[in-house]
Amino acid sequence: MIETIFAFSLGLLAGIATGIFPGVSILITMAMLYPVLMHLETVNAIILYVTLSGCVNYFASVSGTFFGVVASPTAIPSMTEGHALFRKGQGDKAIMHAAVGSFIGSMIALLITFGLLEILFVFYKLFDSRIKLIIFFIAITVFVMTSSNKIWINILFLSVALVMGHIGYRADTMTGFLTFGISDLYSGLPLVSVILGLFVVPNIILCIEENKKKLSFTKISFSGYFKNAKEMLSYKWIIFRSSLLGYVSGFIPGITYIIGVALSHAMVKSKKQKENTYEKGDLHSLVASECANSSGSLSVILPLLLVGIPITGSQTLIYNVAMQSGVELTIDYFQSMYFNIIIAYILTSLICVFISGKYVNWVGVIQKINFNYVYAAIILVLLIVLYALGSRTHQEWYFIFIFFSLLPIGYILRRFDITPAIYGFILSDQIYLSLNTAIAILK
Amino acid sequence: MKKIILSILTLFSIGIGGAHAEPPVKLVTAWGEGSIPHAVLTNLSEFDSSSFSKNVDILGNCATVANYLQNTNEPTLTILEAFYLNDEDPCNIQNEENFVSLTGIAYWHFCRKPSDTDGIEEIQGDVRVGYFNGPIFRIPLESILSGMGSSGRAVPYSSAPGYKAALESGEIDYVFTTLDEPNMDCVLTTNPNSDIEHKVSDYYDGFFSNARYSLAILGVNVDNEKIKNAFIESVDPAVSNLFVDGLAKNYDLESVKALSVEEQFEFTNNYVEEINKVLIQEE
Repeated sequence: MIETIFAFSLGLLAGIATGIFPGVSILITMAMLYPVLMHLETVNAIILYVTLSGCVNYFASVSGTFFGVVASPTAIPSMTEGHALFRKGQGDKAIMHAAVGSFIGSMIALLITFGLLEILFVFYKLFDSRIKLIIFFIAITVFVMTSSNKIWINILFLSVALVMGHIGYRADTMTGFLTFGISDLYSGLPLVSVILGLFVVPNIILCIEENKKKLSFTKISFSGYFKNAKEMLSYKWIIFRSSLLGYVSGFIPGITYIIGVALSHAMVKSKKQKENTYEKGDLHSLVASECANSSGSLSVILPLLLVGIPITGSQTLIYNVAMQSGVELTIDYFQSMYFNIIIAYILTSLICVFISGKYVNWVGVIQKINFNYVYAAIILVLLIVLYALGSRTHQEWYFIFIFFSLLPIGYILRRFDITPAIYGFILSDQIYLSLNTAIAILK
Repeated sequence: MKKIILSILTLFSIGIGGAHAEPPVKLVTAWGEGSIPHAVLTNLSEFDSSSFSKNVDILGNCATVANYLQNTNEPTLTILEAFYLNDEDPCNIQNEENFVSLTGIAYWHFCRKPSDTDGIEEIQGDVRVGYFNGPIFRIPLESILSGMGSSGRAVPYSSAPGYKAALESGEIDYVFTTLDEPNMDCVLTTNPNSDIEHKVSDYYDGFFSNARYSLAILGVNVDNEKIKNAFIESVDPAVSNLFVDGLAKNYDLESVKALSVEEQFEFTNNYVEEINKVLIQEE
């Protein structure tokens, strides 16, 4: 019991730190905690992971809303909507809607898992590479059709991004693609440089250009959550659909829930665009992406727990802990510890809603500062993060160079919706590999 | 409670880990947790935490690791595949200066989910076999399948979890692997001395009938001999189960120990030559 409480508390603390600091991923945190994980029982290692990944969502959402930075690609839609709301003086509403959306998404994911526990294993078998490929193509089509730009611009963005994502050393041919013999290019274009150069920093520059020096923020209260939750009842269908999309996409190895998050966001946005009611900073779109994000962050662990297949780097650590303890991850084992995971997950959600609220009020003091200075400081911090991440591989100047090479393009395109390019870049490898696998099966 | 105290102490020990007089050898890898390079390096770090860094850094693909080794001034160790196809391959940085040792020699198995059906008959038919994407894996697999008169297809996956998931879902029938996976039934092997009943050499007598796979330990700014000894001591069954019933249990270390560095080089070069012959034919 004491070990469980220890694992839970450590998961919470690590989740808060991971969510707050840009550039720190769940994998990095889990790798740092690995020496501790090895001493834990498998069930407690899983509780630590579930707590950590659940907690990250709440705090990443706060960083995204306040500072316009993203902790992970899945946070891009909620950052886009949340930060725009913050600039409109509705930061409190954005935070509370996101938190409640995350909470409801988590609970729906738990309910689906509980309801389908006996048949999830069978359901999982339905997904193969061909279905994955179809899902990728549906997602691409949705990105192209729903983004704010003209369709041909979206297709252009997506195509260029798919090629950019493919640059680097190709293990399948053991050769380079568009590397021109430049050694750094064999590593591929760094994701962090691409996201910062094309998306995050140009968005921040756009905010600076608007020259809105003072931003007001109303402190949030506990009763505010209930008020916001009541408001959200009016779009329960969006919440349910998004949670379901996040859940299903998280469940499929090789897809991961970024697709579910992006699709949920795109569907709501597209509908409102048709009704001419969409403008950046849309609460419905924000809630849709948060629900999908939360729900997917739970279902993504199910392939590991049900059939012992880790599908992310951080899950492999848990898998190793299980292997070293001689625990076989099967549906029976999952059923035996399901209750513990439910408790840990519900507690995580409740505690994180509360603590992230406190944190928001604390961070809220920055409203007294000229926000353009805050943006300048954010860009500086992001550059330091970029340098630090690059220096891990002695590629600090490469990371910086790619960032500054893409920044002018990002700046020129700052009024366009660049998300099809970002998703294209992130999903490029997965689409290519799924295509290869599907072709080999169909041959 | 004891475990928690131990965990906290471990965290503290990581924090003060930088206080050595001599910098520890940095451990870097292209493959993450669950891979053999990561497991071997972690084992080395745990075996001698004063000489090797506490954490194994996962840097990305093999080209990033190769680039890192070429640019660092720190003592650094990594494990890369022993077989890279030509000098233009950015991952091919193996040379007499940085080569420490092969980690072992592993044979390939054809494994499936437990079943009562005749595996050999299946493999000789229209079977789908998953493998880790790349010519080093594809060429032996396709050569064996065609050599056995099979109409089977080689299906690429980007990772071992990828093909394991595919096997679980029924998308493929077999995996071509050097790992000894739990819950799998291996019916055919390239290892002539294996306990597995069927040997590839009984059905096909080409070069790849006893196809083998190896990983090479490469170091820069280190004493190669010292590292080689540390590696061999670290995997001694008395202190580690890695090569006994751990992740690398299919890796035959004894046969590597018996080979000199020159012989190890010759082994890898012969293999690469054969792969290249097939690739040239394909072109």
